[in-house]
Amino acid sequence: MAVIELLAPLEQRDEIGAIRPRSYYREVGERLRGDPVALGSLAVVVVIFGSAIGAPLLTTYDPLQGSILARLLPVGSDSHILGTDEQGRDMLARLLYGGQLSLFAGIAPVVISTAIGTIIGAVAAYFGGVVETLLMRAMDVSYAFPALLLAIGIAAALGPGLTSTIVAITIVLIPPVSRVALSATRQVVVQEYVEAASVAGASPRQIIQYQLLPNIASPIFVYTSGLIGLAIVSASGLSFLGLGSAPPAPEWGAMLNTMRGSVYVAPDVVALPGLMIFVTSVAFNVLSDCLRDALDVKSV
Amino acid sequence: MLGILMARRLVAVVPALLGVSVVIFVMIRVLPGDPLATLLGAQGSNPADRAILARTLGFDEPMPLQYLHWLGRLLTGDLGFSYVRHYAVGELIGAAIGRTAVLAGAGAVIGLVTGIGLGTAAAFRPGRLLDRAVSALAITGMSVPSFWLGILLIILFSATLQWLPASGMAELADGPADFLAHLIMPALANAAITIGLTARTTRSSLIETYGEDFVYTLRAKGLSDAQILRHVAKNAAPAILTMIGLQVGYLLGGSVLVETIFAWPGLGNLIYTAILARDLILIQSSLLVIAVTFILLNLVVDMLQIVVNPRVRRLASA
Repeated sequence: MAVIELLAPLEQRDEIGAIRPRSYYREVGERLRGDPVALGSLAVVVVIFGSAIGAPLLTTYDPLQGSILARLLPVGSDSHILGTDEQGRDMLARLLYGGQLSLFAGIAPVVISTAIGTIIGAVAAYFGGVVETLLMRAMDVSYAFPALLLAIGIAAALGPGLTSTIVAITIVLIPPVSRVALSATRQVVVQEYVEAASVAGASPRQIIQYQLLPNIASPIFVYTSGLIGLAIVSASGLSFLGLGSAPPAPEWGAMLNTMRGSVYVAPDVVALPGLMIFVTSVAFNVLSDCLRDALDVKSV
Repeated sequence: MLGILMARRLVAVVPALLGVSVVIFVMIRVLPGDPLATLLGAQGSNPADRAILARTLGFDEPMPLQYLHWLGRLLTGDLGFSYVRHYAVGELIGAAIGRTAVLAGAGAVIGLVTGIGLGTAAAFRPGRLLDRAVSALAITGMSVPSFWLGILLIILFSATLQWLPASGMAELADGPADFLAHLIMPALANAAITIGLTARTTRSSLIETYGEDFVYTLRAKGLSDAQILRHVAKNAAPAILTMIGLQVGYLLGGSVLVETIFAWPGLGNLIYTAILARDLILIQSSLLVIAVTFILLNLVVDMLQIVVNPRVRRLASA
């Protein structure tokens, strides 16, 4: 190590010749750029996002407007590249627009539950004692349910709709995120700089905000990035069961359910919405694995 | 010592069961859904009808009292009455639960055997081609939506090859061939995620154990690979055992989607039809039954841990 540092090129030194400390995130970025699997999965994610957002530019068809004369056309038809569904609506348009709902329904719960779960875990670990017991015991209750079933129960009680699925999946994801935040915070809270901040008169809120949160961000980020694939599959699963956004709105899971009756007539077209869910979920899961390696976080 | 540990774990089940009952009660009564409106249908606007129904169902009592009454009925085995189906919920669930157990059991066997086998093979030589292939397969299994995999299986084996029936269940008494023909596709669709997660967990906990000092000692002593694997497997067993308990939970949860696709007449299908009919009491009683099963399964797994694993015993008694 010492030899390498002595040989460090000039551009890595500051004005008095000392070696510049390398930014942690810059190093992570470099590791990711050198990883073809990470780049490939990132490219897939970007393309899926881009095609969902850019749907109006990529197709001229209306995802809600069908034609009785053009029902269940196969993949590769002249005017409908990916065929049409059971109501004669263009499949490509429905898949592109469907991405908007499906991605939102999967990613929103991860973002919200990350915010809430991190605060719960950090507060529990910082204060400890009764606060920790109360918060974490409440979180433990959800572990008595298989996750998907709890989400189904909550969404069913709230009534079908996009908001219900988002609320349901958010509630299911908060406890595991808070556990990860709890164990990450426990490791940080004993560090000397936290004690120093406390001695210097920082309030609990300031300590949590400026000392704890930045230092538990990496493990939490790695963990929650691994939840996106799962959340997208779960959200489309809830829609498949009729608990998500209602037809005729295009949503991958709901499309799969309304079309599965045509499985003998147009199997290739029926399989498409599920393929989108699958590819999106694989891409996010692979990307999350690469992030875990690049950030060098031990699994929590 | 063993007895005290097991008793302590047994007592811990009580708060879990109470927690589950509170969550499900909150789902039924406190969340903004209106069970009365669902039951009354078109007459929902008549306040007199509402009041009568609320009184009959005990909805006019204060919430804590409603909870206690409901809990009391549960303890006597009364799961409620489905006003949508005009049938006792307990009977509907009783008929369906065995069929779900068959499907989840088959999924567990396929998923755990394949997953543990693949994970062990991968951990043997990390980084090699086989390991990479297993890792890729594991992430595929974890990512694939079971309801889509089910449809793909139907497209391949029912629509194209016409080998297997696309839906329904056959009784074992009517012939094992027909029974298996109906079971294999839903069990596979349900098992995919278990294969993925099990292979991954088995692989990582075996690799971790292979790196421990005692393995070097064993190698230095000149033990064969097979003998070393036996020692390593014993040490990695607790982590794998815990995961098995969780997997059965996933399989029960996944059953809703898979049973819906294959028209398998189990609890999952019951929940799906209850969702379509907005039959909240049926949904929540089914969830309650599944959650209680899940808690008891994990209890069994933890009991096994205490018996099998000396480290858990030492840790808990310290």
